[in-house]
Amino acid sequence: MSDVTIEIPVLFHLGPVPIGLEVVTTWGVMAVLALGAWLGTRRLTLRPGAWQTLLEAVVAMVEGFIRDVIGRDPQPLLPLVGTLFLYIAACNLSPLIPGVKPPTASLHTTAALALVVFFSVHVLGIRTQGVRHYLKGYLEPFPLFLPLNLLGEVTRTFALMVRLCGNIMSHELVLAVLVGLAGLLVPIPFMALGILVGLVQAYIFAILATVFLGAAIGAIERG
Amino acid sequence: MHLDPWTLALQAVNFLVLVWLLRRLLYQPVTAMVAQRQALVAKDFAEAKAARDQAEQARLEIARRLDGIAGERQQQMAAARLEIEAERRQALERTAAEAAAAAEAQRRSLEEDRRVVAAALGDHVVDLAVDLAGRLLAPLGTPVVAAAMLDVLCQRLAALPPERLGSLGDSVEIATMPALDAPAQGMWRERLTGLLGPEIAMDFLADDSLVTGAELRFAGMIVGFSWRDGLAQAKTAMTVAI
Repeated sequence: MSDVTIEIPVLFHLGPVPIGLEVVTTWGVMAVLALGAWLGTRRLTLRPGAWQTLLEAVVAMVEGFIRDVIGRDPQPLLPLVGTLFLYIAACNLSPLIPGVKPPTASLHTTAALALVVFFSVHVLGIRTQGVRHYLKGYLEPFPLFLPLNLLGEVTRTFALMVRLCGNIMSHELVLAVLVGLAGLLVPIPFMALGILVGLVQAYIFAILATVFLGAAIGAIERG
Repeated sequence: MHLDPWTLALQAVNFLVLVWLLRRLLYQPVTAMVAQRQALVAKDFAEAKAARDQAEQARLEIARRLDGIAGERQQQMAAARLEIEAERRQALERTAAEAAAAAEAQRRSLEEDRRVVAAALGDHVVDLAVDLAGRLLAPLGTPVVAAAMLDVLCQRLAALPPERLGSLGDSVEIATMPALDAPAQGMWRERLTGLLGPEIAMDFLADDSLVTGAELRFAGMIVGFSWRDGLAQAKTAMTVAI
């Protein structure tokens, strides 16, 4: 972590596609999450063990905050919002493994997540309300607000991207500076703080995505 | 710092693939299991509720039966009380009737006893009176008295009609008390021959049952006068009076 840099190095290329460290780490996170899910759900029983209980608790927690935000059945949004939370949390906690950099400290990753949320909002909004009714929402409260509403769509997506990346990257930078200045033991409290920051940022990203999706499907007021 | 579109697209694809993977491997199985468990819990809850309702129904049924039993018991107790009261009343009436009958029987028994005792006492008194009269009259059995009784007998024979007097027979038994001596017998024979004729045979005897008196005992008739008959009449009159 002492190698302080914003640019993510390219490890290799797959044809024209450069494969950076955040991509490889993402694959690792994906593998861990998918393997953990497979191992945890291959023998589900009515009397759950510890691992099944943990998985059910995580799913129930995500369902709970989706239901709290949109006030409806959380099942349609569960895969996207739940994966956002689990993926971002896993990425944010990945620096606990020595030598691993969090993919969420890269704008490529957070931008990709923000774009997925952006398009998901519109797809779900149009599928739920219809094109005409959905687009008419950008003219609310009156047509003069159309530019502002469009600008809001872009800025909130940009804010999603920058907020997550900035928090994680800044935490990595501070931690790297502390390691460089004070040695190995001093950064430990900050690493513990990083766990909290990582989980909170995952929760914030998932909550905001839920709010945007809920507004798109008409479950809550579009802000 | 710049954004590489390939990396951006690859990360987006990676995320979408992860969404697909977790949907298949995590969310669907877990939500299905949770739904299955909730259904099972709901089923158990419904069964428990049904069992509770059934138990409640059974409790109400038992309470209803208990109420019925209590009411029936009260009715039976009331009927038993009425029956016992009727039996007690009948027993009292029967006892009172038996007591009255016993009292009546006792009263009758006492009356009978009193009557028997009174009769016996009367008889005893009469016997004492007769005995006393006999004792008092016995010393008077002198020839003078015998002569007076002869006069009475002669008067009674004289009072008989002649045809009756002629059919008295040819013998007579003369019972006297006290016994007549020879001179007295001679006088009696003389007086009676004058009334009955000289053909009649006379036989004298002493009979202390007469107390004092005499009887002329013919074959078909007795003409007499004795204190025995007088005392017997007095005894009868006293017994009737007692």
